[in-house]
Order: sequence, then C-alpha cells, then structure tokens
Amino acid sequence: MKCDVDTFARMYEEIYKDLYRFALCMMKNEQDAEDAVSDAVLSGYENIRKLRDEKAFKSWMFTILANTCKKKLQNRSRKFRMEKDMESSESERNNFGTGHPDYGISVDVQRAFLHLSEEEQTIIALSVFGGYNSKEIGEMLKLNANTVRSKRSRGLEKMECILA
Amino acid sequence: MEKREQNLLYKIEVGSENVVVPDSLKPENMKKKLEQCAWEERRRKRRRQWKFAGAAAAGIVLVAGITVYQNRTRMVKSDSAVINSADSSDGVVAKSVEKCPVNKGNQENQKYYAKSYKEIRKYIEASEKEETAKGSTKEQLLCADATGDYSNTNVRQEGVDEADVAKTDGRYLYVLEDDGDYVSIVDTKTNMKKISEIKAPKDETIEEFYLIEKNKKVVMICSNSSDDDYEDVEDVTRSSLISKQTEETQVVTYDVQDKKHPKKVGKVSQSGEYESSRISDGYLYIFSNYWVPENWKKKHPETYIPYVDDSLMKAKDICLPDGMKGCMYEIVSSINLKQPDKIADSKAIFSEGGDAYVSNKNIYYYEEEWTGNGKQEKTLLRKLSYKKGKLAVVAQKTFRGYLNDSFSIDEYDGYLRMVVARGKTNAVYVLDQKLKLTGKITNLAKDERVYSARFLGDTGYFVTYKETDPLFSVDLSNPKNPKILGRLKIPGFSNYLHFYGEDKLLGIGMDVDKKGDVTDGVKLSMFDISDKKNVKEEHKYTLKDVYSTDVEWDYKAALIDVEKNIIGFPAGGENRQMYYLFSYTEEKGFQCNMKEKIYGSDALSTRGIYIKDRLYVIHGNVLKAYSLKTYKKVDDCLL
Repeated sequence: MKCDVDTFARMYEEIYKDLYRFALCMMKNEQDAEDAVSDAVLSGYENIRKLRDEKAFKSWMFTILANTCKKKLQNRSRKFRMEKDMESSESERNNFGTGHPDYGISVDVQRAFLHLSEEEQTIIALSVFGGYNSKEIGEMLKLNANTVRSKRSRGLEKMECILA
Repeated sequence: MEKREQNLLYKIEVGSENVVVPDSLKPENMKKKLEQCAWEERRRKRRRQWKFAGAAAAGIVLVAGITVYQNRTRMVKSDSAVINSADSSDGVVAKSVEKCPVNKGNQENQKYYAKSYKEIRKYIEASEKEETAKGSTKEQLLCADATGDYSNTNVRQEGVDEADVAKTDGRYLYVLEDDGDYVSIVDTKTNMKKISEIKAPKDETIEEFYLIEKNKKVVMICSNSSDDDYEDVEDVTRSSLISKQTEETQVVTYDVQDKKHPKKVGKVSQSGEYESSRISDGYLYIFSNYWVPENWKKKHPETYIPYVDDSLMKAKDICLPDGMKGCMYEIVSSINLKQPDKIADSKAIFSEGGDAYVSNKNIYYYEEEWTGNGKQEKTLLRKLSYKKGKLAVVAQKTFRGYLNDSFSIDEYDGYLRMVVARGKTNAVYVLDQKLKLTGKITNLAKDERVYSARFLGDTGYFVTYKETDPLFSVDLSNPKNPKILGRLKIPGFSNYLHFYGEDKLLGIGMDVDKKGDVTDGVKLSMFDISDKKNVKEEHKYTLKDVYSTDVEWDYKAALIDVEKNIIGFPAGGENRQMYYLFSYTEEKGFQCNMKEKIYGSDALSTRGIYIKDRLYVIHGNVLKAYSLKTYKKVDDCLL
C-alpha cells in the first residue's frame, strides 16, 4: 500500500502499546524491547508498499516484530556463547525474573514466561497481545494451526503452576 | 481453546497492564523518527540491501533493512548540525561559487583543495566534536541499450559502462558466484558448460566486475570488507566501523584471451570501502569511502590520510567541503585499462557521504545536507571533470532541495538539468558549466514527491506521486527558460523510466487503487510521448499479487531491448521471485511471454542476459537458459 508517515503513525498509534508489551515479554528488558519495536517499525515502514492494505497492518507489524525479537535473541545468545560468559546470561534472566518494578509486568507473569521455550513465548505473547487465534498465529509463524494449538497448551500448562 | 487456557491468557494480560511504554516509542516521537528515515530513504543507500533482494526469507530481509536503518538514523543525527544557515530562499545558493570562481580553461582550481594535512586535520577535529557516527554508504548508480545480438548491463548513462555481477561477450557468460570468491566463465556455444574460473585474491571478496570486450579483459573490483558485519546488528557504531583501518578496495585485472587460462595482468588498490565505479573512454574510475579512524594521530598522517596504491594522498589532491568539518573521504581514482597495474590519477573529496552521477565528461558528486527538521534540505554538488583519466575539481555549489536518484540529474549539451524535491514542492533547475543557475521552474506538484525521472535530449520526464501519478514533460531547449509541456495523471506510479524506441517511454512501478491506499501489484506502463504536450498512457499491465521488483531500486536488474522487443525483470510478492519477460506492440500492448521461478540463493540479485535467441536467467550459482522463441527452458548449469 501507499503510505505516508502520517498514515503510518496513525495505524501505529492503535497498536504500539501491544507491540511494546509483546516485545517486553520476549526480550525481558526494557532497552532491548524498545530497540526491537523501534527496529520493527522502521523496517515495517520501509517495506510498507509490500503490504496489501491497512487491514493487514497489525498482523504484519506483529510478524515483523516477532522476527526482529527472534533475531535479536539469537544475536544475544551468540554473543554470550562467544564471551563464554554464562554469568551475564544468568543475571539477565534473573533481572527479569525477580521483577523490576518499572516493567509494569507482574512478577508472576515474568516468571511464568521464563519457563517457556522461545517459540512458546512467541505463541503465547501473540495470543495475549495480538489477540490472534491459532490459525492466524500459524500464518504468521509459518506453522500449522494444530502445532500452534498444542504448543500453546503446553506452554500455558507450564505457566499455570505459577499463575494459578 | 479451553476456558482454563483463556483464563490464563487473561491473567497474563492483566499482569502486564501496567507496562509503561518508553517515550521514544510514543506515536508522536516515532513519527519524527520515520520522517527522518523517509528523508534518508531518498538517499537510496541500498547497496547492501540488494544482496538480500529475494523477499522469500522475510526475516532476513527485514533484518538487513534494520541494519541499514540503524546506520541511517545515526547518520541523520550526526548530520543535523552540518548546515550553516545559508539563506536558501531562492533555490540555488551561489555562495560557494563566488568564493571559488572557476578558472578559465581546464586548469584546476587550487581553492577547492586542501593546502596541507594540517588543514585536513581541522576538518576531522570539527567533525569529531559532533560525535559523528555514520553508517557506511554504498550504491551503484546509472543504462544503455544492447548492441549486437546480446545484452549489456543496463546503465545510467549511455557510453559509460558499469560493473555488474553477470556479463556476456556474445558467447561466454561471466558470472559472479554466490560467495563472491569466483567469477566463472561459462561457454554457451552448445550446452552451457563452465570452462574456468577466476579466483578472488586471498581474503578479498569480489564485489562486481567488468568485461572489456575489446582487450579481452575481466576487471574485478574486490574488497576486504566482509559481509559479516551484519552479524552484529546492534554494534554498528563508529568505532566498529573504523576498527577496520585496513579496509581497502582492489582492482584486479585478468587477461581472458585464453578463456581456459585467465591470466592476472595487474592490480591496484586504494583505501576505503568500495562504493561504485564506471568505465569511460578506456579508463576505469573507481569510488571508495574511507573513514578517518577514531584514534588518528596528528603526527602520523597515515592514520588519517588515505592511501592510493602504496603512497599517501597529497593534500593538494584532497578537496574540502563547504562546511568546516568531515570525517570521510570519497576517493576517486582513474586507471588506464591498458595499464592495469597503475593508478593514473586520484582525487579525494572530503565529504559526509553522497552519490555520484557520471556523465560522458564529468563526475557529479551530490551530497545531501540535513537540517534536522526535514524541511530545508540542501544538496552540495561537486563537479569533477575527467578527461583521459585526468581528474580535476571544476566547480562546487549548494542548491536547495534533494535528488531522488541519479536519474534526476542529467548533463546534456553543456548544461546540467535536475529535478529536485524542495520542501513540499518540486522544482526543475538548469545549471551551466560552472554550475550557475540559468533557469528554473519551481512550485511543482505540491505535496507530492519525485518517484522517477529521465531525460532525452531537450526534454525531461518525471513522475511525482501522492495519489495519482502525474507524468510531467518539460521542455529544456532554452536553458534560461525551462517550461512544463504537459502532465498526465493516472493511478499508481512509476519508479523507473526507460525510453523504448522512438516516442515511447516505459514506466515500471506500482498500480495503486484510486484512493491511493491499496497496492494492486507491479505495473508496466507504456507512454506515448510523440506529442510531448499531450503524453498518453498507451497500454498498461498489472502483475497481480506481485508487489516488488528489484528494478525499483536497482536498474541493473532490468533487461530492456527495443530491437529485440524484450522487457525482462525479476519480481515477487509473498512467494518466490519469478523472472518475467514481456514484449510490447502498439496494438496488443504488453504480452507476458514468460514467468519462471528463480532458483538459487537469495544472497545475490537476479540478472537476465540474452545471447541471440536465448535468455539466461542468472541467480548466483544457478543459470537457466530459455528459448526466446518458445519461452521454454532449454538448458541449465550449476556453478
């Protein structure tokens, strides 16, 4: 679609809070979440003409953001591997788990996320913050709907013991 | 979903209700950021991106885009104070010319050049004060129709050749392999068969190459910068960029008389990352970017002055910008193709990063200056003459506005014509040999922006776009008084314009619905320009569900030959890239003769080359041959 900055900003306004919450759950710290959203928005804007119409904007942005987070997480783990610095990896985890008050995400939810695989996190975060069903998530992540459903169930089961 | 599960999802949502979104992500701030990027996009510094052209792997494509953007955003920040507040209300700002009058004759004007290394240091220091952090900027620019019964690289300026990743001499195909390690030579005489390969020098990557048919030479442009810098998307900072002080561009020439045994005949090098190159009148002109390292030392010129071959450049060969600072050199060297082991001449432009347009006589280096609010862009234009390899800075000037790409600037009959975007409007400028403004048209197409332009003799054509696609035609026969001849409004826009025989202009772009929001797909338009005052869209063709083509930003991806009546290009949508081949007749319009899947890695861009009645679709290591009579696949070859 043809889209100028104003149009883009208007569409973005409707979803940015959810985008950020999604990124926060995935990246587990504010700075990385902020970067991820910012990067995703810039690349979304650059590629906007590949988007057919406005209706698809939200799922398009979530897809880009999910990919951006994935890439960033890969880079992060690669970096840790390279530095052989497992401590910092631990501390990064702990930082999230013990609950930084400013995150705005309850300690329980933060902890619960830590028990999930990255894919489960992505699926559950897309369900919650994007409001997508298993079929839609499947399209976004190139998985079939059944796989999404079972991964979601498994993930939620893991979270249940903490959240229930 | 079970109730239990729904409850959990709800709990998660409630548990994250208090998230406070950082200020930088607030819509109003994000909008500002996008505006900066929109501006930066015009620079089209997408050299890296072309390697990720295949849209199939969305993740990869996106990440590549991000890297470019990170560079850009930083660049924007750093540029914000570049502009002195020169009054620019009247279009071209003449101050630089007054300060540096152009000497009569062909003498170089010493005022443009640095007097000493000391003077150069002042610029570097000034630049450092701003904690400049800039991304590297690369691009290929510039088109000529094929001669003989095979195609040549689509170039910007007829008569000025450009390097590419695949070339032919009418029998052999020369193809740069995926990894940049080899140029393979493939014989097409009977069945396609690889007969030899030329290897990149150790630790070097071949960026692109030339084929000099007359002397039977292959000239490879190599660099020692690896693409791995993509790995650390986050770490593109100034220090990481300049830590590679050894960055160097090499020109390696091979004699290919004997196709089976290519023989190395020469090598030259210069500092900096390869940006672009041209060949004109038997000389190669090579452009590279050299960044001044952070830890440069006053007493050691070798830490801040670029090398050409093994000697430091002289201060008198370094041209200074208007603004009193700079941290990057654009190095231009010429090489006589008959003496491939020697650099004939070199000049460096102290610059903040720009692009080159190379006419048949001159190099125009244009560099946007950013004012911070996106409203008062200026462009610093420098003109270097080149004649038999001899380079000389002849004029420089700042004008208001910016250029969409190198097709928006064109030299003809001693005059330089430009279509520029100026704030919310657009303008046409005509400049004389000294870059003095002779005529202009301003306030064109308010709120629209230039998408493409092309000049033919005394006439210029350009497309602007917001909702509909006005194609303007402008009469430039009187340099003092350029005049708009006509404007045609149609839906959609063209990103690339190419003259298609007499009185026809081909536009490749996007079809967009009347409201201007929904893209219908890639569109081909044929304009009848026989009546310049009344240009008509003769026929159009929309490729449904195909949303992008490399041609939009890389004109070398286009294979267009009027005599052969072929229009070929790669294009894709959400699915795999396909190679499309069209023919055109006035009666029937566009006819799609071929639509074939492109195989191979997404790392390189796709090229179509024809030899006689065969079309070769080349994509990295995969070559496919199709008959131009039946449009069926007849052969293939894996390198």
